Amino acid sequence: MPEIKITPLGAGQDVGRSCILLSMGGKNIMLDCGMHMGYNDERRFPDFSFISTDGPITPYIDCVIISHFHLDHCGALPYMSEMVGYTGPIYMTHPTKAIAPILLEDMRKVSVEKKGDQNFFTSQMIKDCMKKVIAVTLHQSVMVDSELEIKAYYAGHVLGAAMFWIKVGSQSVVYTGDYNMTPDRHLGAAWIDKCRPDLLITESTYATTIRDSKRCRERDFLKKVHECIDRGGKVLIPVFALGRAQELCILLETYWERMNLKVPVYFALGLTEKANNYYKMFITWTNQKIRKTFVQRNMFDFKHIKPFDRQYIDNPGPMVVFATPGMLHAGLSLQIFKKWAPNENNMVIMPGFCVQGTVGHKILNGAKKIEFENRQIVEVKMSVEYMSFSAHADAKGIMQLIQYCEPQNVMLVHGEAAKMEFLKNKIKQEFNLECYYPANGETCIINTTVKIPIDVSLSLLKAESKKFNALPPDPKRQRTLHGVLVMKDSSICLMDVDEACKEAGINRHVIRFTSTVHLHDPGSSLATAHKLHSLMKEKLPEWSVTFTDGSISVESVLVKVEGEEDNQKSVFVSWTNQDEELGSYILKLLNSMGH
Amino acid sequence: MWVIALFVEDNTIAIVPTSWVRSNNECYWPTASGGGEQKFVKECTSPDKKTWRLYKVRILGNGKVFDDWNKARLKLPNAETESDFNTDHENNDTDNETPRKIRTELSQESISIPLPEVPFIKSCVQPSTSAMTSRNTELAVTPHNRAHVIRDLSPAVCSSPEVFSRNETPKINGYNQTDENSSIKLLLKQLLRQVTILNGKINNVQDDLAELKNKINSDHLKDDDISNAFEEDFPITTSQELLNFDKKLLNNEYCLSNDPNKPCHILTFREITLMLDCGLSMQSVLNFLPLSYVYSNRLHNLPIWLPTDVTDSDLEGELRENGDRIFIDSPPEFCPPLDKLIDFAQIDVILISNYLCMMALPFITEGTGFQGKVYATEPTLQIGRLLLEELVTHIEQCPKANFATQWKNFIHKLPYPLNDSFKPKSWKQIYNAGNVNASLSRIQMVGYNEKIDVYGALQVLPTSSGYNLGSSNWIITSDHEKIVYLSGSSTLTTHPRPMDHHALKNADVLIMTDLTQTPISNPDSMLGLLCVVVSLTLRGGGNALIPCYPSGVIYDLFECLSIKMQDLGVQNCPMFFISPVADMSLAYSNILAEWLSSAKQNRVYVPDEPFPHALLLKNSKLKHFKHIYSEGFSTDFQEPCVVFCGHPSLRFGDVVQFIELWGNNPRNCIVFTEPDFDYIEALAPYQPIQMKVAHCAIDTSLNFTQANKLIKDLKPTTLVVPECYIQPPVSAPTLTELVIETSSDRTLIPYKWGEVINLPLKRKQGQILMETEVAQKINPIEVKTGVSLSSLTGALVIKDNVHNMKNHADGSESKTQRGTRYEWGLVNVTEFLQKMAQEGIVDAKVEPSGNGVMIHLQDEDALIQIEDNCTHVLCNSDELRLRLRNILMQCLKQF
Repeated sequence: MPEIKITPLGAGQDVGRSCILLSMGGKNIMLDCGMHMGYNDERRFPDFSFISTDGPITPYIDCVIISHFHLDHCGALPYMSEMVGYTGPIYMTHPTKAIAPILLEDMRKVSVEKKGDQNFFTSQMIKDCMKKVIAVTLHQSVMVDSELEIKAYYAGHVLGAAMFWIKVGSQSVVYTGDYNMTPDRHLGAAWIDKCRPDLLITESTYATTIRDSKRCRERDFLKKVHECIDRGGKVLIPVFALGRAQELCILLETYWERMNLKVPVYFALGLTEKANNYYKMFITWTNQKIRKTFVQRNMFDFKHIKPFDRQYIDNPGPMVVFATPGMLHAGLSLQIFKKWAPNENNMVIMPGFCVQGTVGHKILNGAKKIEFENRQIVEVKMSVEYMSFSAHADAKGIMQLIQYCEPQNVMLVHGEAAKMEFLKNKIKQEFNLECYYPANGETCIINTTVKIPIDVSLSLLKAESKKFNALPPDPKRQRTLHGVLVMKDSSICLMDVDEACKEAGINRHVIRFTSTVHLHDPGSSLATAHKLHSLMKEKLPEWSVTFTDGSISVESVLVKVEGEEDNQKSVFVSWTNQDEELGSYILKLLNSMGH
Repeated sequence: MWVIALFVEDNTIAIVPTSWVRSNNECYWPTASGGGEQKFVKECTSPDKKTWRLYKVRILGNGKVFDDWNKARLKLPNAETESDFNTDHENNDTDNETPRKIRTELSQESISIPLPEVPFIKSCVQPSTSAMTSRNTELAVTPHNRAHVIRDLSPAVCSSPEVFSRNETPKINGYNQTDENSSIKLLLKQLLRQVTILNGKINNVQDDLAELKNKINSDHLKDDDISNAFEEDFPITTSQELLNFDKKLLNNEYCLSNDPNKPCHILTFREITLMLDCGLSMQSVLNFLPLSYVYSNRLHNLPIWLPTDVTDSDLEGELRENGDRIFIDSPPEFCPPLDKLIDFAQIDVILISNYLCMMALPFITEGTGFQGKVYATEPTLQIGRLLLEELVTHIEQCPKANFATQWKNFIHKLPYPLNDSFKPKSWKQIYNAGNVNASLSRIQMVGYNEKIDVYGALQVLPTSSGYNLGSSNWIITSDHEKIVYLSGSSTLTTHPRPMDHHALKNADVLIMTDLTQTPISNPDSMLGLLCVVVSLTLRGGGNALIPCYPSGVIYDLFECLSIKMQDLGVQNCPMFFISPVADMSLAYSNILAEWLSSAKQNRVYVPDEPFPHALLLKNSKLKHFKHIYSEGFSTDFQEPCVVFCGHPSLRFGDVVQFIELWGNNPRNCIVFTEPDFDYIEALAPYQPIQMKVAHCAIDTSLNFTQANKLIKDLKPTTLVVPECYIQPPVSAPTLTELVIETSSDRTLIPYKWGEVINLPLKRKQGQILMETEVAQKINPIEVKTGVSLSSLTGALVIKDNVHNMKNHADGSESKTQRGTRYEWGLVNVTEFLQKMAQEGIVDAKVEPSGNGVMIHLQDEDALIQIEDNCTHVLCNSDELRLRLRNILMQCLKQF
């Protein structure tokens, strides 16, 4: 039985450092190569020693696929390719290829320059790594080699996020990366066709949540922001540079315009501004509405939102600030947080998921005091709001995707074990599909049915179809294809027996048997033949019994009546060796009539 | 009992049974049977009042009734000219001069002319050549004409009911006899009747087909084996033509466009009808006067022209003269792909290769019952939309009160080139914006190398062709066949993604069209020349006018021209891009990074706009306006300047205004860059003109050298090209190297407009997917070195045209041929006898017989006849028979 082997090196019953190894049909594919935001030690990168304990991993991996530019999906890429050693192809979409190196560089700076990490990858390594990247467009079939084919589908999660369909021989897998099944203010919804993969590997960040309508959440968000600035508070919104930031900017921009608000809105200089440029350039990856209107007005040219300067932190009066990174684990957002947290008028809105170990995760769990590495303690008096704007599919969305692509098996990754358990039962219940959720380092083996493509001669198919159509229609009847498989050189072809003999250059030997039965039946021999015909039709309802020129035939069995207009009739029954069963049955039938 | 009746409607006469005549002036006549009337007439079959039509008739010969059909027949020829056959001569004063044609009777000459047999389908009562011929004799105005019409009958049945009208024009033109008018009218009437009859038949067939198709769809089948079933199931009285046609149906190609650079083909393959491109030839617009939105004194006062002997007041004012050219004063008309060859409703899929080849799309998809799918890449759709919208806006913004139509009736009296124009009666007004939107909303966007499944029977895949943004070549494959459609390709490095050669290799059929229209000039040197001409004009204080399409080469022009202008110190002269879609075109070009050359693509990663015109816009070096009258244009406008605007035909769009404005100043210059129109023709209505004219046509698509090299590289088995590509171009008949080379390595099939070609693709094998359980049953037996055989049985499941072979569900296996094996080789008689002896059968008597031996077992009265390829056992005892069977099997090999 052919099988598909999956080993998550990260994202197995966990969120962060997504990295899944997939083996099928003799090919090894690495899906994503992310880092974990919650750790600062070696645990932040996937354990590549699983693949090879020493030396580069190029010989063991046929290709690497990156689903989108979030660091928990691509953060370990330069480490893997340049430090561990990988020279094979890396596939990602054009926007991912454009944006990923910027985020990597940004993270590198934070880690090395701010935290003083040693043994981290360098800027040059990021550049070298990106040279190995092959950009793909949506729906394009990419042949990695003669057997391995990949195809990207729109995933909606962030700009350029894609789901990948991977096929080797007749086995196929869909890896979703992160995706979003509901269109938002700037991106469309994920879409996939009915590709019926053997396995669907889906993220399950919101495995148990069914989020209320987007509009309500947006209204809620705006209301909270508005209330806070009305009481003179400052609003901090930690975001990742690309993705939610743009959606929330569009949201605030339109609200500010409508309400004619004057309170300043800032976004952290640098990254986000550059990011907006990418959005302008890759507008084809955004949603329908933005694409339609971009000539008149580019949605990413903001009027009310101005770049942020570090000095503004201490400015009096209300303001709204978008700052990176999104989980408050480092950088500007953390710096602002430390300043603003002690004031109860202020507010922090966490618009996305925070991994364990980050400050964001701590305050969301209600921590009132945060202790930092340098023993600095910050009291959290500001209100902490969590608004799930993360563009992940919720339980409903995951079920919808399963319905879209009709997989044979489902695997859950990128989520928490307890929630996965729940979702697994639901999938089992609703679709009756086998569902897996291996932990990191645990190998999961899935058996698949394999279909072998073989050639078949058209004349054989036509003969079958003719025979099938000759019978009265019956939806339950199975069609049967019978032929001879000719295996010659490297080709395999199914054909009719005579064709096959000719192709193989051998002579078929036909054995025919003829027996005579004597019947007492007055009347003409034709009348007897008719009687036999109706008898046989009755006894052999599943066969096509034909009557031509006084003889009856079923498959290769021929029945012929001879004799003058007297009682004695000779009935000849003749058949080939292949129809021995049928022939002897008919012979017995006729014999029993004679007695 | 018969009478002779004159059918008033079409002035024909016929013998009719009296039982068919109703109330003396009406008579039944068999309809749509397409023949067999003779038989009906002879046998006085009672009329089927439901299906037969009543005709107005006059009974001739004072109602004389014949009791013998043959007698009536003898009188019939006289009845042609006489209305009363009791007298020998009567004055024909009441009757007309037109000789009447015989409705049913066979004239002797027409029998002697061998006529192709028309296939009869289903409803025909007695399919016979003579019956059909009797109808055709009505057409026998002259033997020449008959041959002409009848020759086209069989394709008429095959492809489309309206095909007759395809032959209308040439026949009428070629018909110059004394009684021209009445004969033509008669002929037309007959033709119309024929069409009606054929329509009726086709309707029947189509109903049947529809029914069958429904059945098939419900069974999830759509495959060749079904077409085979069609042949079996139809009660077709098969004629050779019909069979041939059926074969053709499976796999042929025809071309609907007469312009190889605006291609439109139909390809039928595995029962799928594909349209390859739908280009709109715009050459027709050159015959029209330019559309100007301000009143043009000059154009308005052009002298009216009339053909020498025509005084028809209807024609007055429709034609105007300038120089030696005649122009039609009317909104321009276009020559869409002809719908006579195929019903557009039958098209399953339209594949568009680039935005210049989709201008006829609204003509095809709107109001024709078209229900298929249209595939194009994203840039093709977006930029194609711009082109269509620009065209519609250009024409609609200059509404004309009068639509000239009368001139089409005097084509043969008009001077060249109007009298030579291509099917002017089929020319149409442009579609409207609503049609454009509706039509474009049918397009499904695809990416390069995206495999698209077409009803499970075919797979189509676009690959980059390097010609313009989003341009593609299409690869059409089934399990074992590969057809490549190559259109508008370029091996030059410009802004689009480079051409993808690899996927096009080793095709069974390569259809190659849309090669360069400027085979002699080199696009690079033309671009250089253009830059120099423009810069020099600017330096001399003149303005440069560049008529162009709103996308394509224009992006390269902006880039190169701005550099050259810098070099020559005229960088301060502004460039104006005026088009209703200028802003869209510039904006789109900068967001389609994935479709650009890698150099342009890499700029996006910075992030920078891929095209430098974004920078030119920022620096106000390049300005764009929707129209010449748009707000702000007059304030920004400064001379000297460069103006890019449409339309390249110079018949509509803002370019008309600029020629009016600048045409009289010899310092100004008009530079032609688009190769679609002949620049002398384009300028004809503006002559005499003072401004300089430069011709720098830039066509980046393949030239003949590149094409021949490419063909060598791609190694197709069969190459299909427009006929004009195998002869040197008309403009340069001496340049014999400007052709597609022939080679013994491949078959070359030239085609011309309206021709149906049979592609040499014979399907022999299909594909089936075998499940593992079935594969486990395979028991290969090596019958020769390297050749193994195994008999195999499985359940066949056909879904969406995909064949799957599974294990039989339990219970149904018993009666199938499961485990059936076949014997092969020779029976060694000695060995056979030995084995029989071992089994105790010793009374065998061996006699030679025929090619083998006859073994007689006397005790049992059993006979065994052994030959090389077969053994026949005649035996009445079952027990003995089974023993013999066992022995035989031991003597033979099996697989």
